[in-house]
This record gives sequence, structure tokens and C-alpha cells, in this order.
Amino acid sequence: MMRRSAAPRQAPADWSADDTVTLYGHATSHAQVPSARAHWAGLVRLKRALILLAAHGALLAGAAVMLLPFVWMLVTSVRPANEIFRGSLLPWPEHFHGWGHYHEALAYVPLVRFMLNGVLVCSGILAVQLLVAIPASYALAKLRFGSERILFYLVLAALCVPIQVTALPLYLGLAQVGGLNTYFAMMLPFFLSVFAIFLLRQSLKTFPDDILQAARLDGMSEFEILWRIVVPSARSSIAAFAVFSLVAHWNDLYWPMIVISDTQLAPPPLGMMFFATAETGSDYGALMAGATVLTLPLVLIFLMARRRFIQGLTM
Amino acid sequence: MNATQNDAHCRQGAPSVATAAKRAGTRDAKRTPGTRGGLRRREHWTGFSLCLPAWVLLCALYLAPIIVLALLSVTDYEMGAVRWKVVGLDNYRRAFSDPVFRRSLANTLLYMVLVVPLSVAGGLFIALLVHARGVSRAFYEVIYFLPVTATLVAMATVWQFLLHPTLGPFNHLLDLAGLGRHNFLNQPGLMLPTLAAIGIWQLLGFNMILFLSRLSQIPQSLYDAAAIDGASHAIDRFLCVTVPLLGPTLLFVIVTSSITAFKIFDTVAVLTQGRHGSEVLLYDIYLEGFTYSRTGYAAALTVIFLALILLLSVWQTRQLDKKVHYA
Amino acid sequence: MLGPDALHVDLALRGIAKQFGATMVLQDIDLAIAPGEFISLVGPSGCGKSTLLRVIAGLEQPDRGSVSLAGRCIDEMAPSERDVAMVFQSYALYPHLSVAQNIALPLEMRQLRWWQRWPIARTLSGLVSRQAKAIRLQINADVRALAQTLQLDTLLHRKPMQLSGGQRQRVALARAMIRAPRVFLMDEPLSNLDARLRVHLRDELVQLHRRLRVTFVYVTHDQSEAMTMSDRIAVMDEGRILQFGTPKQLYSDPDNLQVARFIGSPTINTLCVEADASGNWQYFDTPLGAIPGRQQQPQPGERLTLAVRPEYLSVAVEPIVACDRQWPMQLHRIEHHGADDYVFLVDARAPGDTALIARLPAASSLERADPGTAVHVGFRWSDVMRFDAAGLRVREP
Repeated sequence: MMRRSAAPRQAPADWSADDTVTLYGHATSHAQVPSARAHWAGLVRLKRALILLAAHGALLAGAAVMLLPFVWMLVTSVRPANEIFRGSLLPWPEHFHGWGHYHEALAYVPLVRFMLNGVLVCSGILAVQLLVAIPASYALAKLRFGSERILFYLVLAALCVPIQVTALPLYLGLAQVGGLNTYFAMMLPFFLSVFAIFLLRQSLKTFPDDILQAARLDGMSEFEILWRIVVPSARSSIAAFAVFSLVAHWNDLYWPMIVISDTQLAPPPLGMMFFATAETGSDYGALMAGATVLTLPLVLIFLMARRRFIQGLTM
Repeated sequence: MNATQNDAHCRQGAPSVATAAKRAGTRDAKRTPGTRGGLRRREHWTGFSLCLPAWVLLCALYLAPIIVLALLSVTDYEMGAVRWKVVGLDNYRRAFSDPVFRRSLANTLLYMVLVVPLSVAGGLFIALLVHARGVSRAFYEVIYFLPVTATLVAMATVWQFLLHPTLGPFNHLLDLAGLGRHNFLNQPGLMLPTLAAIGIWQLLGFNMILFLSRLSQIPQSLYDAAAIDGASHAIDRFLCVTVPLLGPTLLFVIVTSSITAFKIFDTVAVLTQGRHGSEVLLYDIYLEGFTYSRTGYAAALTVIFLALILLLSVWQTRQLDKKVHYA
Repeated sequence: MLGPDALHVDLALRGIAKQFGATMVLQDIDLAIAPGEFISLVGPSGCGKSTLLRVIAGLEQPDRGSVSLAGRCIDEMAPSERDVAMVFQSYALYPHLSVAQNIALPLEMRQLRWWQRWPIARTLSGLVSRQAKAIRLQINADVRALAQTLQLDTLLHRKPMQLSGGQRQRVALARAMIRAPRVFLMDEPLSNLDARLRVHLRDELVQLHRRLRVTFVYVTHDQSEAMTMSDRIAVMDEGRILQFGTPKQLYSDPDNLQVARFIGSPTINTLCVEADASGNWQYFDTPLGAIPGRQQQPQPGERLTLAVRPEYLSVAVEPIVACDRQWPMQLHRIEHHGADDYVFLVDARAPGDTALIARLPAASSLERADPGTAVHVGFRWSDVMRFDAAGLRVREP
């Protein structure tokens, strides 16, 4: 029998899957008299308390680092300019500046416009992505039509190709037809989401064939089966993908930076960049106010629908 | 044109045949060749038409651009130029002797070397700590995941402010501690580590969540079995159950993090604009292709980028395929 | 068979109590199990049977009470030191290890040092330490021998994912057996299998127990499993042991109504009877008269529950001769079970809650009777068990 010499107390963290598991770690001795039991239980309790303390200590320290930029962003956005200029280290404003910086930010750049652009572009992309991907993924998952194999392999291959690879030719093409600086240009490369096709195909594959057969017997056309039976059943996959798509395109900088030079058309990240690199870029109060406004929507959605959000991003 | 006619014809003719066939039994049941052919043709058309938009977009957005890219990469085409010629592999040769490109390649790899191990190990460590929590688990999950949800460009400007040589609290603190002020986003030696720190800050929570979701899939009964089988210490059970079961996830997280790190662009674009010491691959490609308009050369760089990222993403895609299959 | 008063006790539980939050999961459990006995813990889900098993294994610490094995208190021992092996409902096989590695793991954990166990070190330590190599060879031989007896020898290199349910079950058993433990703990090991395989493995388990002659503690919610396999059964409900006895005792001599209802299929018939003003027992308007052997005169309004196993009810179209009491009922349905027919009866006077089931040999006179046929139903007093209003058995005289 093995006996580990390191005391469990010295473990940097409780590695266990669950707090109850620490129970296995009895420091044991066969000849324990009953009166020693209380003492022993007390030691175990002390050990667990120390582990708990250490774990929370480490997690809170890390959490402070994670939160620091957010806190500083919020604090600076309501802090008077002279405090910012002094480089105040207080994590709260000495004098509350109110909405001043927010008004400034709105005066410098059309923040609301950026957000509307973001909403427009993201929803346009998502709508087309779903309209294209849902029928294709259904066909790939449930129908045999000769070219399904090659299409699926192409989808897998395309999964490995990021936007930065196709950006150059697409840009040239758009420039050729005079399509730069349009919403359409911003959305075009993302109309086909091979990831959506892949994901939905995998999820639809598990959909029982019996139901499809029953629907066919009931006289439904393939089109009706798709929209009235298959789509509702794949709702959670679709929702997860929607989150993924919205976050990805709301935050995307690379492609808008290439095709958009008109400030009025900029989505949030590009708008933020215009803002940060303009001469006003050293007015940090306004910049932080702008950053707060542009970060807020996704963070709010995240806080409201945490599970779904995480599910969408980590598929 | 022809296709739609055919399709319409099938739609009219098929339903009665189809229902009759279905009534007769399963698809594999014995049946006259004509009926069977009709059914199959119908499925063919349905499948094909459902996939048509995807096919068109796949060709227009992936296949054609990649072919064009490959062709451009062997020319000296410049955006807007009237004349251009085929230069063979000159662009590639030039790339590997171009000091900027070589630096950007080296910087990108260094950035990966800094970000990947730290964000993966850190994510795993935090996931293990968070997983063992009861009530407070959700609280920590939210906080650590917050940077993932925030728009990186906006947060980059916040970091810029935090690290500002005169106004930023970091330098203020360093000054108070007698360490002197540093221009984190301007000094060549400091830029990359600073960018890496921001990258880790952003990636940590994502990796944590990936580990957490795997950790919560490990059934408690495995830990129980290990305890009975002789793993009497928590560390024993960690090595006996958690580590092996986390293994595939660990690889997956490493590859995903590598891809993310390899594609570093946003923070460079906002914070350093690719100043000397912070050149990275994507930003170099961006500059060559879209600012300097050296299209042919940028295409060659992009092909190199594609080759490198394929090494990682082919592996990731295969993992993804497996994960979904055997889940 | 080993009776409750067998001379020595192998596994003893004394005053075990456990509380999760506000619910008492286990309340003062006492249990003495003789060496080599096959014990089943049965009860509805949530009755505490699995928790009790986990307390024995050391996976759960009781709030009060103690467990001793072979006369030695094992309360303070880690699960791995208790000389118990456990088979889990989900089998809990390590998915990353092959069948052979799964089976070998308990031995490796015990016989090899930690640095000898890890894959990279495996080859190295084999080179460095001759002893480690010898141990490993011995373990491999043991695994192969055991795999042969369980017919797993062709599967040794597969991963658990590639096995069928029954095969996984066998691997889990092998992993428990390899250590030759003093006590086998099984937590619903057959409940994830299909019916046919379940019956087959039931037999294998009984054979195994006969061969190993060690103590088995078997948790199940399926009373027929417990009845067919165990030497003794503890019926549990709401954290208590309702009765602990042989299958025969539980079936024909239950201590309370819950046990009577839980054991046996189809479920025992119950008739609620009430004493009338003159002290006679009454089942609806059927007078049952006095209960033979009962000394005490019933109080008017007193209630009793009479319970009769389905096979002791007589049913016939014409009045029954060979019974003590009978009354008219209606035939509802007949279920044919091959050798037996289950006859479902309803009382025309109160159709809802008075259904009775009789179990008659097939080819009885009722075989072809239509639903709705009026029949006579009767019993003998000697076949009737009585329970008071609290559900406790009334044993008189």
C-alpha cells in the first residue's frame, strides 16, 4: 500500500472534482481510539477551511486583474479631466463628472451610428448565413444526392481558411465593381458560414429519421419538413450559432478596416479605432466613455443570457 | 433553366409515386426500377437545390478567391496598375529575405510562445479552482469570461490608457515604487510582452470555460471508483482521472489558442500600428496588401500565412469532427 | 443458508445516520451481515440504499454511527484501505484505458509506486527496477487469468467505448474481482442492461458469489432481482430498514404493509375492512364475521387492512366451495402469462379503488370468460395477513 508523505494541506489547490471528494483524503491510522476522532475531525475541518481560503484568495486576485480594465474604464469615464490628467490612482472619482465625457464622446464620433451599423451588419450576416446554411446542412445530414460527400469535404476544408486569406481577392473584386464602402461589402464574405453548415449538419444528423418518414407519409414536402419540423428541433444549435456569429462579427476589425473608410459606415470596432487614432485620441475621459458604450451591448447580453452565450462561443 | 423544368416535372409527378412506394414499405423493398429511379431523382433534386446557394457562395467566397490568390502570388501586380507580369516564385523568395516579414514571423511565433502556454495553463488552473466551488462558481465564471465578450478594440484603448506613460495608473505605480516610467507600447523590447499580456488577459476565460465544460462531464463515479481502487489522495485521483480525461481537451485548447494567437491583429492595429518590434504576420500582410498596395507580394505572404495556419486548423477541424461524432 | 443469528458477523453497521440538508437520508441503520452472505438492499428510489452502500465503501461519511468489517472499526479508513470493491451503476470504467488496463488498475495502485505507474515511467522503471517489472508481469498474468474466467480475454485491448453494455458490466466486475476483496458492493449493476441480459447476468452473479464465497452487498430497486439472488434482503424506505430477512420471510411473513406491497409481483391484494356496531368485520356489505384466532372483540369503527397474495385468491363463476369467505365481483380483464393467468377483478359497488388481482393456473374455468362476467372471489383465513391502521403487522394470537 502506498503512503503519500506530502500533507494534503500543502497542496496548492484542491484538485478534487468536488468539495465532497476531500473526504477520501483521510489521514488514516488503524489504531485510532474513538476519543481521538473528534480531534481528527477538527483537523480535517481546519484543512478544508485553509484550502477553501487559499482557493478563494487565488481566484479573487485573478478576478481583480480580469476586472481591472473594466473598472478603470468605467471610473475614468465619470472622472473629471484634471483627475485623469493627474493620473489619480483612486479606484473611484473624487468628484463625479456625470455624463460629461459621454456627451463629448458623442460629439467627437457618431457612437450611436457605429452601433446601428453593427446591428445592421450583424443581423444581415446572420440572416443570410442561416438562410443558406440551414437547407444545406439539412441536405447534407439527411439526403443522398450524389454531391453531398464532396460538398461536405469542401466545407471541412473551408473551415480551415480564415477571412484573412480570402480578404485580398475579395477586396480586389469589390474594388472592381465599385462595391467598397458599402454595407454589402462588409457583409459579403460572411454570407456563407461553413461553420454553421458543419455545426447544424452534426446536430441534424441526430434527428430521428422516423419523424422525417412520418412527415413524408403525412404528405409534407421536403421544404415544409425542413422549416416546420427540422428547424424547430434544431433551435438550440441555431441559437448557439447565432450568438457565435453575432459576437464574431460585432467584434471583427480586420475586414471592415479593409473595405470601409467612411466613418459613417464604421461598425463599433472600426469606429473605436477611428476614435482612438484621431487627434481627440488623448481625451481619455471621452475615449473611455466611448469604449464603455461600445462594449456595453455584448456584455449586457452576456450577463443576461450567460449559459447560452458561453455555449455559443465555445461550440 | 433546364434544371428548373426538370424539377417542376418531378414535383408534379412524384408525390403519388412516392406515397405509393412508402405505403408499400421501406425504401429498400423490392420495387420496379422505374419507381425507384423516380424517387431517387427526386431526392437528388431536393438535395441539390437545397445546397445550391451554399455551392454558389462556396465557389464565390472560398474557391475562386483562393485560386485568384495563388495566381496573384506569382505576379508583380499592384493595386490599380495597368501592366503586370508573371514573376514566378520571386515574391516568395523576396519574402524570406525581407527583414520586415522575417521579423513579423518571428514576432508572431514569440507572441504565440508567450500567450499559448500561459493562457492554457492559467485557464486550466482557474478551471480546476472554479470547478471545485459551489455557490461562487457562477460568480467567478462571469468575471473570468468577461474579457472574452468585450470588444477587443475598445478594451485595447483601455489598456492603452492603463499603460500610458504619463497618465496611466501602471506607470504611476511603477514610479511610486521607484522603478521608473516605461513606455510599454513604444519600447521595442516591451511591446510584444505587453501585447502578449493583453492577449492572455483576453484568452484566459475562454480556455477556462473549455476546461470547465469538460471537467463537469467527468462523472463523479469515476472519482469514486478511483478512490476505491486505491487512489487515496486527491492528487492521486487528479492524476488518475482528471488528467487523462482532460487530455484530448487540453490538446484542443492548445491548438485553438495557437490559432487565436497566430491571428493577432486587433491589438497591434490599435496599440502599436506595427511599430518596429511589434510587427506581426497579419499586420504585415495588411500593410503590404491594403496600405502599400503591393498586391502580388501580399498574396504571396497570404499563401504563406495560409500554409502555416492550415497546419494548426486541419488538426483542429479533425478534432472538432471527432468531438461532435463521439460526444 | 445463513440465518440472522449466525455466529460471526462480517460487516456490521451500528446506528448509521446521515443527513443531507434537511432530509434524513439514513436514520439509525443497524445491520449485521455474516461472512459470505449475499445481501440486497431494496427500496424505492431515494430510500437511502445507495447512500448506505457508499457509507460502507467510505465514499460518504455518516453523521453518526460506525461501520466495522471483520470485527475492526473501519470508520477512519479511506475507501481504498477498506478491502471492499464496488461495481457502479454506470460501471465507471476509465474511458482512456483499455479493458486490461482498467482491470489492472486496482493492483497497480496498490503494488507499484507512483513513479512506476505512469506511462513514460512504465518502460523506464521496467529497465531500472527488476522488482517493478516482476510485479507488472504478475499483474498482467492475473488480469489475463481473470479475463479468461469472465470471457473477456478477446476484448482485453479494446476501450470501454467499444464494448456492449454486458461486456462493460463484466469489465467492471473484473476490476472489482481482481483484488479479491473481502466485500463486494454493487450499486444497481444490472439496471442499465436490457431485460434478457439482466436475467442472464443475474445468474452469473449468483454463480460468482457461490464461487468466491465473499460477502456481497447488492443495491437494487427491483424486488425480483433481490428475491432471486439474495440470502437476505433489507427493505428500505425513507432512510430506515423496514425489514431484514430471507426472501421467503419477506414474502410470506412481512412485518408491515410497505414490505408486503414492495415484495412480490403482482402486488399483494389489500382489502380495507371495518368493524360494524356489533363488532363484526365488514368488507363493503359482505360480512366477514369474526377473524378466527383473534381474541379481542373489535371496537366498532375499527379498521384493518387484510392482505392476500394473488395466488391465494380463488375466483370462479359459480360459488366457491373451498374457501372461508367469498363475495361477488366483476371480471375486468385476464392477462395470459403462459403457465399463469392474472385475473383482474373490480367491485361493481365501488369500481375505482377496489381492484384485486388473482393469479390462477392457466386453463382454469375462467379462461374464456368475457370482461364484465360476474364472479365469486374468496379466500381462506389462513392465507390472510392483517395490518393495523399504521401499516404494522398484527400477529395474533
